[in-house]
Amino acid sequence: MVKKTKRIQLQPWQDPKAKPYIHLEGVSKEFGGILAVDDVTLSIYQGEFFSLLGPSGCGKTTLLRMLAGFEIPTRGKIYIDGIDVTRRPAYDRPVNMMFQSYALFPHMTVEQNVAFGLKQERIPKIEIRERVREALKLVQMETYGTRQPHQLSGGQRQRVALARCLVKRPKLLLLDEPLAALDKRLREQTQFELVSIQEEVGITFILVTHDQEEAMTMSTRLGIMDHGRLRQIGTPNEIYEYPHSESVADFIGSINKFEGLVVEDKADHILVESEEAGCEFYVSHSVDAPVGSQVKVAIRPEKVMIATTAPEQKRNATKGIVRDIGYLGDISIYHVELKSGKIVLATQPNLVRLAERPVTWDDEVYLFWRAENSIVLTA
Amino acid sequence: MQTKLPPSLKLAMSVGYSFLYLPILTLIVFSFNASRDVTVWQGFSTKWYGSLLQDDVLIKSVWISLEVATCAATVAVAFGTLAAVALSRLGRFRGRRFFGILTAAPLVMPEVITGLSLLLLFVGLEQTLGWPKGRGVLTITIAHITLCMAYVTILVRGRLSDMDRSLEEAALDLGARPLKVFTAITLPLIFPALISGWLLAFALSLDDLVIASFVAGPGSSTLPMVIFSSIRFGITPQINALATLIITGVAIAVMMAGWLIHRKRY
Repeated sequence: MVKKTKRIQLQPWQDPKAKPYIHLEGVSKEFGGILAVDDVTLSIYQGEFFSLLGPSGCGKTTLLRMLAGFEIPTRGKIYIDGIDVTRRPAYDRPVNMMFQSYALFPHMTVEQNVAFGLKQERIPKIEIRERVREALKLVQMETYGTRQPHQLSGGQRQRVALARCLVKRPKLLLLDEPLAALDKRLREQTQFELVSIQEEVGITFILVTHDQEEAMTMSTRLGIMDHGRLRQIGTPNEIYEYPHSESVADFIGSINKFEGLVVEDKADHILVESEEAGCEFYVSHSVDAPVGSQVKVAIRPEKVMIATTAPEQKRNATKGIVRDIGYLGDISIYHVELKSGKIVLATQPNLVRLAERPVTWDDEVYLFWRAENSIVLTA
Repeated sequence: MQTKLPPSLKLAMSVGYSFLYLPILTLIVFSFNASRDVTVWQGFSTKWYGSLLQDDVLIKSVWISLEVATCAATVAVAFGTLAAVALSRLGRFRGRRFFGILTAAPLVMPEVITGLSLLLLFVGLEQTLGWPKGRGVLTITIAHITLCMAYVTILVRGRLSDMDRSLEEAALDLGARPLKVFTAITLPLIFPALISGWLLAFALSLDDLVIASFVAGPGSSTLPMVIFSSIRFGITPQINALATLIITGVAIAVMMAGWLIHRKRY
């Protein structure tokens, strides 16, 4: 296929001169008066591994099906490589899709499955044979060419389905929950394989998933969808550390949230007083929230530190009683009840063995965190 | 794992099966009776099978029935498949539900009414268009197509709705045009349903008496019609022999259809 190239660590979405490869312009889709996809505008660049993440029924699959050509948008336009493909039928798009069920043709062998797409292009037989062989080699299935799909395991079927798409050399590959049917171990292994294959062939991938871990490990950028709308687009790191809204913060990882009132709004920091947390939050970045407005301050459990003695800092610190400890082997999750009755989650790596742990049930502990680690959610 | 049935259930089952199959068994046994009297057993003989072969009227009717059944089953499979594809693959077009009801209606319509209405139609057509000329093999075949198509449609529609839609979408996605998708993916996958539909239609056509009686013309009596009319002159063991042959044929067809329906699905 394409020669192996190292993933270039540039971020085309930050380059104002970069031309988007796939562009969706105000795309909406209605099914019987219900908006499944609501005014989505999105640019994806060449060679990206973009994930659409969201709970089931959020419209992510509908969006993917519109890119594939199985659904026609009610409103809006879809451009691939600068060409308007909004109304083009599925068989006339430089796009291939890998289905959740893999959709391998049961009455054909692995080779015939992979060759099917090339036959439609009326490519000479010799070339078809060569390209099928290459594609099967890429997914390490070259010895299974004469098998029938029902003779393959789930992981092998997934590889054949991938080869069947890649052999067409599409401009864009769509993956609809490609790993959902695999067990956890195989899924983790396949995630990395999929990424390395993507780097090898250099094709733009768009993946749909409801599994946040999968989206975080595999993608260059991800888009969070909810109720048909694209809530936030960013790198996995941006989405996790700086969620714009409560729905995004809730969907990715677990998070502690506190009601608060803005008491000071400066260029380099804001101060939020929270009765619920029993302390003041000093947030060391500017937030668009005027003094007197109600906001929510959020902090990830792994950013909350636990101590048995009072920390020096007065702000960004509170205390409570340990109500529960969840032991997960590598980490423990502490459930700490504050004076307001609010339960705060704090995860700690298990640096010492369980028996030597300094903090136990019903202990009074101090919780504190760094100024840059709290997030102010205004929406 | 096989489970042991309690004796009471076994008894109920044997009573049920006897009720269903004892008459047929009697008929088969008496087809080998040496006596002319159907109710008295006088020893084993196959002479009625021999005399059957000499009965030209009967033999002719067998050929007519086979011809009608073959044609009707083939056309019914073609039309039924088209109807099923329209109903399950063309989306929610206007009048879809009504069309679905219309195609299934012959299933529940009393045969007497179907037969009578078809007769009226054929007579009317002949008077206005001059076609079909008179009643005969052609009219019986058309009538049977009407009946059999309903069964085929239901069978194929079931198979189509069982089929994973993403298979057809994948083929489209890989660049196959809709017609190619149908011939390369859909058709091979629903083929077992087409075969069983054909066999079912064949069996239905072969044993239809009521509709055929309405729309048949002179010299086009089908096998069931000949049997039925000969009974009026008294039952001969020859009819038993013929019935045995038909039962054997129909049983084979039904078993093949059942086997194809229940065969491992993709």
